[in-house]
Amino acid sequence: MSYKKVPGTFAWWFQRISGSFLIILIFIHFIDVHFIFGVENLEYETVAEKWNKPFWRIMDALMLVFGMIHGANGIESILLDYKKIRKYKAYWFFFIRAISAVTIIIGSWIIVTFSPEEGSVAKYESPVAEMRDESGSHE
Amino acid sequence: MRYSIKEGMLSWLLHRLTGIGIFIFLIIHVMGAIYLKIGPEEWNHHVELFNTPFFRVAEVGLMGAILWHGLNGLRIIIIDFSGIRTSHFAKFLFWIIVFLTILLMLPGTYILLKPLFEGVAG
Ligand code: HEM
Repeated sequence: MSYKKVPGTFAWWFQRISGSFLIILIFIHFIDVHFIFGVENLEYETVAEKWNKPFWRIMDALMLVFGMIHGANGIESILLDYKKIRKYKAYWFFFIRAISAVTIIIGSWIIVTFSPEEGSVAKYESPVAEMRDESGSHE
Repeated sequence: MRYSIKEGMLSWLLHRLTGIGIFIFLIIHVMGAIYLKIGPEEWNHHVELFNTPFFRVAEVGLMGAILWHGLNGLRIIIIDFSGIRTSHFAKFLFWIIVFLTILLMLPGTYILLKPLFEGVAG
């Protein structure tokens, strides 16, 4: 059974530690997107305002990195349950890790390099924004 | 770890399916965020999608998957570190997380679907 991610291995510990972090991060993310902003208020402007504070960029980056590595680690342990896949383990693991790496790189690139385009924000009038302005629920 | 009870089988299967589902969702979700780098209008057009009835209902499913996976993950962690290996304890925790999932789904579903009944979502 040495091929498995059994108790005591790094993968096993990582799954439990990242899982504990994720439950807190995702809970805050849900409160933030659905209570504080609301799905109807997620315009560019809102994101720019939120990511103005480094704290939120760090929170989102942590969620991205923990989520993708935890997920890849989990998928690998599922794959190890199948004899036929175990034979080509190296290829499968490379594939899964490549997908996670690309997602982490793209996500981090967005989080780190995002800077709102000057003046372009106010120009845009989405139907949702108009409705929101009419109801006067947001300044 | 193996807990050879039928609740154990069900929670194990659901944990796998939700884990795979959330993983795929996360990849798509990050790819969608690329619109932030393309431009404000493109991004705003993209997020309007989340406001449609289809996406609001789909988000209830996503919330259920994440709640189940997260709470069941917590259950696994508690069983591993408490050292209590009785199926009675595993079953007890199983029903606690079933209860918690439903309890948290109620306000969550209300928040996600409320706009559908107010005619805000398009
Ligand atoms: C909400 C917080 C989360 C917690 C507390 C959590 C907890 C866990 C734990 C403890 C395991 C290991 C199970 C075992 O060794 O038997 C696990 C497995 C897994 N998790 Fe998570 N997780 C969370 C979020 C996520 C997310 C966001 C994803 C997807 C990106 C994910 C995908 C997976 C997958 C695919 C597995 C493998 C399932 C299996 O081996 O059958 N999890 N999770």
